[in-house]
Amino acid sequence: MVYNLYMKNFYYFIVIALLFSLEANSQDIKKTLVKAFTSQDSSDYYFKIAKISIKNQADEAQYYFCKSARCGDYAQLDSAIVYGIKAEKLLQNGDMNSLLTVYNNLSKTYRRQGQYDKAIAYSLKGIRVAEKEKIGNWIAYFNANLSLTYHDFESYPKGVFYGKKALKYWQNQEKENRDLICNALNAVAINFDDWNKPDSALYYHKKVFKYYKGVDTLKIGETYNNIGNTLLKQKKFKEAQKWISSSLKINDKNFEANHGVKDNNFYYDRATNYTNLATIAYELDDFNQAEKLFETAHVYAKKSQNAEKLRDFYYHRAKFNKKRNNLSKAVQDQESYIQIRDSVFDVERAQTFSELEAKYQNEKKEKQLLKSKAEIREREIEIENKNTQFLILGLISLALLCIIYLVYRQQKLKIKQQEQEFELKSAIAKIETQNKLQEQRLTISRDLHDNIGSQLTFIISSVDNIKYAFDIQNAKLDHKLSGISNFAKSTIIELRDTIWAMNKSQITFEDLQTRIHNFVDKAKEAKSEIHFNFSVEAELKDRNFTSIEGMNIYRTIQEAINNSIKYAEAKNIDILVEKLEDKIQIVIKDDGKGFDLANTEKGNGLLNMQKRIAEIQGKFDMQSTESGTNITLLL
Amino acid sequence: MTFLLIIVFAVQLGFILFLRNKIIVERNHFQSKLKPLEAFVVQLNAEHQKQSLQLQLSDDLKIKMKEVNTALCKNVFELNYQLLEDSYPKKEI
Repeated sequence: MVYNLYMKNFYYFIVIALLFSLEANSQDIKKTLVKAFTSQDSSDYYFKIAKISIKNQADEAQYYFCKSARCGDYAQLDSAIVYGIKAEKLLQNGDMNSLLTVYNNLSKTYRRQGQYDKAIAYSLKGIRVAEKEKIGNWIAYFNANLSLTYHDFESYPKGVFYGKKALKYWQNQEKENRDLICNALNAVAINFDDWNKPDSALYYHKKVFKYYKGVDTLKIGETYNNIGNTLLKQKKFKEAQKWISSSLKINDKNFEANHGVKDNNFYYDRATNYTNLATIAYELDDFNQAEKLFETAHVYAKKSQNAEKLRDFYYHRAKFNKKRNNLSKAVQDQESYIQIRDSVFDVERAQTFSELEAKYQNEKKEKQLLKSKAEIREREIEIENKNTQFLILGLISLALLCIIYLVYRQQKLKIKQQEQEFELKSAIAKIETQNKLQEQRLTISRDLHDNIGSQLTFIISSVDNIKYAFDIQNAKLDHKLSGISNFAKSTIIELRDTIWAMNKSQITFEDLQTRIHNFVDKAKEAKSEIHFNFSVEAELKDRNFTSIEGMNIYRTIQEAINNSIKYAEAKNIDILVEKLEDKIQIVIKDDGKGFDLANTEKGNGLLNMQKRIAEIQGKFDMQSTESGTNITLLL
Repeated sequence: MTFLLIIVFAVQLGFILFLRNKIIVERNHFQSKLKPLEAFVVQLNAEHQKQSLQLQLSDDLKIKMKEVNTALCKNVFELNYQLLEDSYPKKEI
């Protein structure tokens, strides 16, 4: 199996790129190291110059890093490991990419030596650092490395697992790198191949042709060889021979194109090609050809210093010698095969493998656990935040509703206030208009009253003058004139009473008392024998009535007294005003002859009294017996 | 985000308080504006009431005066009738 060519150019690129990325003050040593790394013949010379130019630890690290890479390329595996370990120590706190390259180189070198435990240890170290630094590309490189190491260790399921991981990573990159994809495809395919799953192996091998076509296929000589190898296992010898021969031709072409550089890959590829061709030859019973090819393969396998390659070689040659009945050689090859195999596959190493992987997996799981815990916590915080945000959003919505309600209320209030103001102003205007109208009516009324008063006075004085000027003997005429004069006088009194009431906005009992006293005094002039008693409860003296109420009460009392004077022949008339619970009771009683209420027709005076009291929402009651009349007003 | 929402909520609360305060101030202002108007209406009503009572009294007096007028007319007529009655026998003689 061949798996190195894909990575060869890429590997050179990384080493040179790392050298160019050094700081400016290391320009000299950098140039020297690039020359040392790429030079065919003068590499040692340039390395000596570079060693002299070392000024600091970084320079020293780069020196050993390049030295290790160069030794690894040119099959000086022990030296590569020694320099690699030195570079590793010096790069611990230095450039991370250089350190990861050193891990990669060491892993590959140990794999070639067949020290798979160490190869895996360095790959896992590299993965840890790459994961810590989050460098996805390096994680994929190390996964591909692990796949190849597990392949060499004949642990094919794991080889497939890591190979697929690397393949998935490279295929998911935005910018497709066909070299790296094909490297991963090759790793998966060779694992399937040796796992005795040729169909899967061919499937992954042939996928490579999706990326390489035409002249580009010169870069995938190893794929031709690997396909041939799979066909060989399927006993399709002729077909296999074609593919492997093509691979050999491609390798020759590449050798020419590479200016005849015989590096590690050169020997490795040829060892593979010739071992496979020799196997085909002896399977086809062409023993002479097989022997020749095995001899060539032996030379290349030895020079490749690859344990896996030598192991394969001895395995196939032992089978060849056995088939040829050359048993002594067969046993010899078998012993060499077993020796290499045992050196590679001892129990302790397998155990170390498991431990290393278990440790790595445990670390990974712990990291994943911590990561999941952190993620869960983060999600919890996120949920809490979202809940809080929802709560605040709810409050904001509520506040928004409040604002809308308040704005609506404010507008409504404004409209209501404007309406109220307008109504009030309208009412004021209306009342003012009515008041003006009433004022005009009152002015007219006052003028009229004054006019009536003066006319009545004129009538009285005219009648009195006629009576005194003409000596009227006619009693009837005299009586008529006196009647007119008295009527006019009483009308004037009534007019004055009304004007008095009109001029007062409120009338108290005291006012009423004074007014009634005046009236009683005049009545006394006519009937001096009648005794009047007018008493008002002190508490009621300040009780106010409207002018209408006052006037109606006054007129009723006046009418009652008049009736007592005129018709009852009373000697005593009492007027009592007192408080009865929350009402006022006015009693007018006399000790006259009384009258029969049932049989007497009610006159205008009596009816007027009842009407006036009803007008002011009062009660009128009259009782009359032979010993006197009693009128009660309840207000 | 949460901080922004809290700020929005705080601003809204502030605006609510401002609106509420504005409503109270406007209501008080309106009340103070309305009070003199109400007092004026009360005064006008009292005046109106007083004038109504005066007019009612005036109307009552008007009725009374009509009655007085009738009575006086009747008295004057009777007086004239009496004078004519007294004068008529003298003319016959």
